[in-house]
Amino acid sequence: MGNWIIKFIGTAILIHGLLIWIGPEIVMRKLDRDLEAAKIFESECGERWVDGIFYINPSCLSNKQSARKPNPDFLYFLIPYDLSNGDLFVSTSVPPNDRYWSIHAHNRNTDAFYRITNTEINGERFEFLITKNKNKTSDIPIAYATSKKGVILNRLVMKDFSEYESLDIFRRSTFREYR
Amino acid sequence: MNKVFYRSLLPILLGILIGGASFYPFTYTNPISMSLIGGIKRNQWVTHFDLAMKNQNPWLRNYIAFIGLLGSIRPEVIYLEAMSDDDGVKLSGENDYVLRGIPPKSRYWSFVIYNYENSRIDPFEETVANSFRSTIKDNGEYEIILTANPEKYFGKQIINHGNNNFTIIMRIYGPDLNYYEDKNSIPIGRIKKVSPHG
Repeated sequence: MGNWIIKFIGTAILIHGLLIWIGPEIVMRKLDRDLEAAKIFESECGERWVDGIFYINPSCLSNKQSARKPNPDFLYFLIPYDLSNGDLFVSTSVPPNDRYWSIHAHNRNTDAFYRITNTEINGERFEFLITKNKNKTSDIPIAYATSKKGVILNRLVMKDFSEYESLDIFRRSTFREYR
Repeated sequence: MNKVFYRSLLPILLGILIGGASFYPFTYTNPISMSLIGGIKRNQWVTHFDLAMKNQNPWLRNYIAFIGLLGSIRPEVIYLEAMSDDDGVKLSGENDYVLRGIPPKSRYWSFVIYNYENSRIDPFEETVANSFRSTIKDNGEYEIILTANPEKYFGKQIINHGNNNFTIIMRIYGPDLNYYEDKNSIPIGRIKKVSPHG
């Protein structure tokens, strides 16, 4: 009977721990699939993928299981990256401080390893580099990733939904390349 | 064969079942996950200051991945989540509620409701109230009505739950940093059931 209980409890703990450990990866893989599916053009969603950057259209979020609890006030863009291709350089527009804006960089396990908001930036553009190389130096800010793959997420608040078109143009000045 | 099954396979199969079942509550907002994951509680509101950070516990990392993938981190934001009214009763799409409170000191704050499947409720434009569009009354408080019948509350700030059972998230972006030092200073909302509608 003792062995029976040990097998039962041991298996339950093992399975629970395994699922908790791989849970974030399960969701990230769902996000990968949703992003891949969004490469098929849908006229009501507009041009979402541009040069490796995914511009989320709020009207096309509701049917995506990986889009959990999105903030309706935010315009988001995502940059999935794979540092096997080199360090990632990102350049993007920054709005005035009366409007919340931020960049977060997430490892594959979803932990954020870098964040910055517009009140910390002087100027109308922000450029930074993501690398795994701890010895890398640069004259622009560097975010040191601990996993090769990850995601950059930008948040830009709409004070009113009528601002969508102008802010959509604003965020689309973003550029990224591997160096 | 039966002996092998009962002695070896059955406890393993039951272990797999219980292991999977005990994982499930950490994939959506419910009283079990909200009480087990830890975090900071203020009345019915729960927040996690180490969300999306390297030192968060694996249950929180998993929970956040499932309910709100890629969350902001401290000191960028404080998320507060509630699934019940001031009487401890689950928020229901059958009822109207009034949400009142003092606005937090921050760059931007909002209340947004979601269904139990962690998805937004459509039309999503009507599920949000925020610092830009909410009027503050003479007593310094916002007053937001949660209802499926906005026409009953002409001139009021409305969130339309569309008869969906829901949870509510308060987002405080660019919060006063003192909130992290003194959790009791975070101004949370009060949620009172108004009346059954219909």
